[in-house]
Amino acid sequence: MIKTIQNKSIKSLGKRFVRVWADTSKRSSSLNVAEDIKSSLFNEITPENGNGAASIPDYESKLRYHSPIGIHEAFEESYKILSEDANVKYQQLEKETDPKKIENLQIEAEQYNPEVLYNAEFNHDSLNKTQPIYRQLLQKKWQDKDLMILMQRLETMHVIPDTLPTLNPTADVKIKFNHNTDPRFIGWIEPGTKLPAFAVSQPPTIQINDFENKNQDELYTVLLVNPDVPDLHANTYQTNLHYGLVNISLNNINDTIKPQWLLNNEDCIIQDYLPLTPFKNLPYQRACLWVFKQNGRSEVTKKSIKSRSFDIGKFVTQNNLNPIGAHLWRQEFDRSVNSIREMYGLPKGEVFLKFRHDEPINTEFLRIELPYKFNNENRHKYEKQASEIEAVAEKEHNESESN
Amino acid sequence: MNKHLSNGILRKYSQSTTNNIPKISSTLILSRLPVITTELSKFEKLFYKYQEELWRRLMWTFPKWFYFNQGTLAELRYKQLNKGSMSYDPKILYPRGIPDLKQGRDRRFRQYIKAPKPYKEIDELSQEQIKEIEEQKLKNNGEELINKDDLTRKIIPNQRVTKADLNKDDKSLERRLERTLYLIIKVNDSWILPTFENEKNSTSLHELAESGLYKIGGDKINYYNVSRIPCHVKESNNNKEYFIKSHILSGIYEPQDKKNDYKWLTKEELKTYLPNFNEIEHLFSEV
Amino acid sequence: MFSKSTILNTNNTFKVLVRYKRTKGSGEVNAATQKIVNQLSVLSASRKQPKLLNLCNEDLIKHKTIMNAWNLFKSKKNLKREEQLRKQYESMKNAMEDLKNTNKHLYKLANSKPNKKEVDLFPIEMRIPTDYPPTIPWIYSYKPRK
Repeated sequence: MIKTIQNKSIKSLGKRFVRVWADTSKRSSSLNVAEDIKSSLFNEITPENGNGAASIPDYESKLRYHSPIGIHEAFEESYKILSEDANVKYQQLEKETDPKKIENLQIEAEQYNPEVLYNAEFNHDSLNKTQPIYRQLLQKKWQDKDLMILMQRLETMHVIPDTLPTLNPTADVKIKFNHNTDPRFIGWIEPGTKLPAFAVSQPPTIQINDFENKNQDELYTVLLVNPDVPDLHANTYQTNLHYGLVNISLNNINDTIKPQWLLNNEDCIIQDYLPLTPFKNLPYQRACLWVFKQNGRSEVTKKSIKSRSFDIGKFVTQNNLNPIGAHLWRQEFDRSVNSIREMYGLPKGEVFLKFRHDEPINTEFLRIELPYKFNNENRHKYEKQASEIEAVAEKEHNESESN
Repeated sequence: MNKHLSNGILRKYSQSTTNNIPKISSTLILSRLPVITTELSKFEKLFYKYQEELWRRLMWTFPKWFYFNQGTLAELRYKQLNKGSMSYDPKILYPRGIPDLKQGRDRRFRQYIKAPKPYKEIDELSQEQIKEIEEQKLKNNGEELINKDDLTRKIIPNQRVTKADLNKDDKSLERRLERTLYLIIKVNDSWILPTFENEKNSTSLHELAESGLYKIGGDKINYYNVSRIPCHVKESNNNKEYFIKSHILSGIYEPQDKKNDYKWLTKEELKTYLPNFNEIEHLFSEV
Repeated sequence: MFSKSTILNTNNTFKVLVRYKRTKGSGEVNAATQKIVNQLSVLSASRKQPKLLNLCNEDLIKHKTIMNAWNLFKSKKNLKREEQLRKQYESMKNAMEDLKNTNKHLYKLANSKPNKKEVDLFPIEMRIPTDYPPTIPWIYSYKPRK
């Protein structure tokens, strides 16, 4: 049976009914709100008497805020009705043995608890995800907005099917770059944002909110690929791997991959982080971050990949990986690209023609080395070669005419 | 459902073995429909109050200038009743926060409008005036003195609780106006729903119920038969009672045999009177 | 048609500009226009709309809780009513099946439609429940038609 507990802040609600949601002996304390919020949630908000809303920080606004008339009285009665319903659910829970039904009952017993709703609505960054109700509410929130944004970006920017054929996300993947000091790039990145090279110069912090994970340690794989690397010989694009992590064990509480943590767990890294450094005059490049769940906790063989060129589809089928989430950002050439290239010891960036021609560049006709590039060093050489070729061509032309 | 199924099987079985023709009778469920709306629960009352307050809060400001022309006597009376809210002065500290005044209304709150009336509401009266009215009430059998011919008189609705309720009169059709009442009669010291036997097995069930009702209760009953189709069947010892539903609309039930007792009861009250109540509970209305 | 001379004449006249008391644009309109302006202003939302309901966090949760309780209350009520209706239907069906097996004649009569001559129409005396009872709650003086 559930004890009725005398609680100071909800004294006003009367003593008759069973206060299931005030009981902390069997329920996690994370299902309750902070004391100050609790007092203004369970008491009438009367700023004239100094009982302003606790969530409003400053005195002036507190004084100005007035609740709608009758909200508190209706709330008290609603609370009684809902907690009586929850009490029935908790009594059923004591008899239930099927784990799946237990979880459903746990959700049903807490889904109307105003304190739980408050936490889910306003403290969603610090929720205890071991509680099924919080997982459920977070998933609902994610499905209502973030999931739709993600899918729209993945589809309109053709990450699907350019990298993998399709995706049915079951996890919320969030990334941020902690080295940034510029307020524009500090927070979580929205999928599809165009970022400058300096903002992505260090490996990202990745949060994987797997809603299917029920308080277990699971193994995850993270791959960051760039499908927009120009391949001039084949007149197409190829995919490069920019970051590869395998066998990363995460659970509901410990759900974030931090670069600091990876320093001590280097065997998880199959490919070191290399930021995208797009060449000048190329269209934007997509940095596609894929998150996979390793089926049945089987470990992926740790074999560091030497070449950057990478076939993601083959890797996924070989290792039997199950894609659960994705993220995406875009990059263009900008002023910071050259310095980032230097930082990572890459050669100087190439400069492309402003327009891509309809026909492929005939490398044999040009008789010059590929990649076809102009920079200040070799510009002279190429111009010389080109004028020689032209001269030869003109000469041949003249000869044929005279003959 | 299982009960009905087993009933069906039993019925077939009994028919094939004993060739007796069952005695058919009609049982009448005569109901008086509610006259007033149902009593709301505490939660419903609070919920509707809250919703109404939200609606009032979101209403537009009352366009006074449209209904009361400037400079008229009507406008003067309106102004006397409705004092505009205080003006805004940035030097003053307002205990309820800085007001947001537009057209004489603080737009953060709902607007209370008082229309000129020939009488005063209780909250507008002084203590002495209230005393005076109460003295008048005592003289006038507890009722306020109101000129009933005056078209602008104060509207006082009738009480939802009637005299029959106060006297606990089970035989009155005016009791429990908010509930459906059902007629039961006393036969051989036990309370039953009125039942009439079909002697020739030829009159239809609803006609049998009608003639039976007139026989026991007189013909001053205006009733409406809901349907000719029976709503329930009760079987016992080769007897079959078919239930017919009717509403009494006006008139009165007067037992022709003075020894026959009768009562008008609600669903909850029927429980203590009828022995097989659980079987036919679903036939009675919750309201 | 203007002749050439008239045009010349108009060109030669001086325009004398004198300043009188202002009549236009002083904010005064005639009564009829003012009436229309008043009528339109009743319909217009300008300066009449209240402040938006900007609930604080606690009140937002209170509102959600109230609506949750209301939905729960409603759904319980509906379930109860549906259950009762289902039972009523089952019992009616059962009664008719029974009657069919017991007495074919009565079954036929129960299924028959009323004749046009028979007064089996919906009664106009039936009233919808009101919040307060009428002054005469029940009419006793009913006399049967002959």
